[in-house]
Amino acid sequence: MMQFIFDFFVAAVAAVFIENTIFTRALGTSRMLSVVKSPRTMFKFSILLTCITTASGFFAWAANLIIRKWSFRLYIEPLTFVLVLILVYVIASVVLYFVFPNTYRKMSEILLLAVFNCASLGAILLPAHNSVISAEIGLSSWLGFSFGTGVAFFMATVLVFEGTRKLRAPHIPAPFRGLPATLIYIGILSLAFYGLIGHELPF
Amino acid sequence: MAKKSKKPSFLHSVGNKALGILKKLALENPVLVSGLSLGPVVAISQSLKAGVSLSVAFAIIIIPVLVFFAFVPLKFSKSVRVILCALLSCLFFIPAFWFAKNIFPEVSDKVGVFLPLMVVNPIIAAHSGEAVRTKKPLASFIDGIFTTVGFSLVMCIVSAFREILGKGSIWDVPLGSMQGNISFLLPFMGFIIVGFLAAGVSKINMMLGNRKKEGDK
Amino acid sequence: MNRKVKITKAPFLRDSGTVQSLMGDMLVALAFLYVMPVLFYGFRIVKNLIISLAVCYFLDLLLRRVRDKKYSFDEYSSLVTGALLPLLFPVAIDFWIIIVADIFAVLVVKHPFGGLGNNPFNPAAAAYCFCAISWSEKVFAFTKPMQWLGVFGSVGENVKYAETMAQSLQNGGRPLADFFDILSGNVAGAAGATSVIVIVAAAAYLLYRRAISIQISAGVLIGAGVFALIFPRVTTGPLDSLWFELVSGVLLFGSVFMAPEPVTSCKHPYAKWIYGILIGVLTMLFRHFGKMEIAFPFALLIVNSFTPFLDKIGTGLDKYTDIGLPKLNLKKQKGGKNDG
Repeated sequence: MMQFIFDFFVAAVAAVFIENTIFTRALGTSRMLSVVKSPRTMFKFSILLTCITTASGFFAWAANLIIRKWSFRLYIEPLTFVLVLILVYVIASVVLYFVFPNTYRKMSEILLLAVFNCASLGAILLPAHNSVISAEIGLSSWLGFSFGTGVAFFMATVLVFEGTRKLRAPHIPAPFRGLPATLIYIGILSLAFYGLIGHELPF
Repeated sequence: MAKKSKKPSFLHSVGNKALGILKKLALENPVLVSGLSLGPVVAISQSLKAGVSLSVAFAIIIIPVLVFFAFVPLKFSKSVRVILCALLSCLFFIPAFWFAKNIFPEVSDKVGVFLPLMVVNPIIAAHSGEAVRTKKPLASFIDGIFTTVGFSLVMCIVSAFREILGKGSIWDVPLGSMQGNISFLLPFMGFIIVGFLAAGVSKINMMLGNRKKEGDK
Repeated sequence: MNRKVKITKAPFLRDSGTVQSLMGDMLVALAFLYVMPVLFYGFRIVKNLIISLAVCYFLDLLLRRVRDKKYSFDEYSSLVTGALLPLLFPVAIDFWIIIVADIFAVLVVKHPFGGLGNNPFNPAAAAYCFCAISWSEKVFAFTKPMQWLGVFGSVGENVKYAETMAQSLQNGGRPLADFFDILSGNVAGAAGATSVIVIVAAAAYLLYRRAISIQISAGVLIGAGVFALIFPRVTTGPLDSLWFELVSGVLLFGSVFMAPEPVTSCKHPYAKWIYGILIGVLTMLFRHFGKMEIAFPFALLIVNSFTPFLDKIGTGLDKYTDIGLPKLNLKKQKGGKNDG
């Protein structure tokens, strides 16, 4: 049990700081740019994403045990994990329907975006690819990485949120206003994170 | 006496069409204007081969998906459309992956998870909505072509730039004794380069917009 | 009591000082720091300084011309960045790396966000981070002091290099530097970050001139110091850890010249303390878990992104005390105009 918690924690911390989904892999950047405009959406999306990635991590680990040794694994890998995401989406929709009946419609829109995006699929694909390259990844590490991806997304969104509010102001040169300045802003933050990683390529 | 309107010359009409295509690629560029599909462009565009490989895979996936949505005479709700889009993308991923693995075998390992991540590419989901709405297969096919060209242009330009400055080579062919700077291969420079490209496109958009205003006067 | 509110543009100054006087004070203080490297290594650092100032100034002028279609020759903010950067690198560094750093600072970090007073990140810190990742073997190659380095071209092969205090701590060892050597700067390290006495004197000058705020500088040192006491990297005791962690790397230099930069730092007094402490703690975390020998600029960039949020926290704390920014009184007075 202690080993499970330890592995979970180590994998989660690595996912947040060393293999941050936004700053070191740019996964989910487009989705982050769309949710960062409103704090409420940002929090709801991040919480949903973290729950989705953690839940789908469990089912993906199980599915990976089955398909891992197949020779044509790489061809059907996306299909397998998209089916996992669909399963998690259905379960999450049912849970939301009963837990938040009044705001179900709004929450279900955010849920759809939270399930089908590069960050959530990436949180499953990365451990799957690592399990082929190195030893089989245990459930604890897989869950930890998936959970950490959601937290990493939330952290990146918070870091970007405050700064990007100023990036539409008139003092920004017109060609840079909005998306260009935001991308440069994220780039400089990503540069800062490389103080932890050094100059190793993450792939 | 009313002035007879001059028929535009052939060159003039060709020029206008070219400008229209440029406007479509610049004004409606999915990456640099809408900020979609930034993941592969920022993170994995480290060599021109990787850029071309991902661009072709993108084309193989998006065009049939858009044509399917335009062809099928059914209206889908947003959630069903997004799920169907992901499932269809997984289906067309199979030939895309076969292509990448056989034509660019050394690259398909390096791009890692970014090739399978194409199945949830936000550009495909966004354009599938338009295909469902219009129900015009030919228009969706052309939309797929333009979107692919727009995405590929950005992907290949950024990849070539980063490969030259990051590895000192182009298409894995060394450029003399030029040594690259590893920073250009890291995601943070990807963000910065794409940011500057987006600013350049924004400037072009502003100039095209201004030119249109002058023509109206 | 209604306090008058002065409407100004960033960088926001509370005194009668102008942006020009602030820049002037910083340049004077930075000039102090060029004395010791000249004594230890010769005039190579002066060449680096001249190149850096020229590149920063003229590039800034060019970009302002491109952006605003008008320019004035008396805007000196880029000179501060130009004077800072050579002090962060080793004296032996090749001049073209300094040029790349200058270009990165002005072109990527400053002007896309609107130029003077609007950049969200410290340009010198970002430029240093970029060069540290790109050419880490050159940026972290520090020569022993008391060697006359050639002014032009690369330094010769006979030049002796030494392990810095930061490198020793990163390797798990205790630095061997003598107390008086550390005070005078007679140790291997970044050009302007080794001489403790000179940095403290410069800090005293800047505090006297009110060009920097004590809250941020003290906050950085307190945050780093407490962390070093609780989690020492040296095995010879917490006091050794405290001393070496504070004087190694560019922490002391950065706490005086980089963290208190008025554009990117917090404005509210409470927020300044939190800002400084956060930088200090994050620097120590980067030192413990990161791969880079010099961690301060990386930590500074991350905390820069928190500045608006910290100012909000500081303003929120105003509810509980009377200290803070003047409050606007928007109530209508009888027979008079609004004050707010």
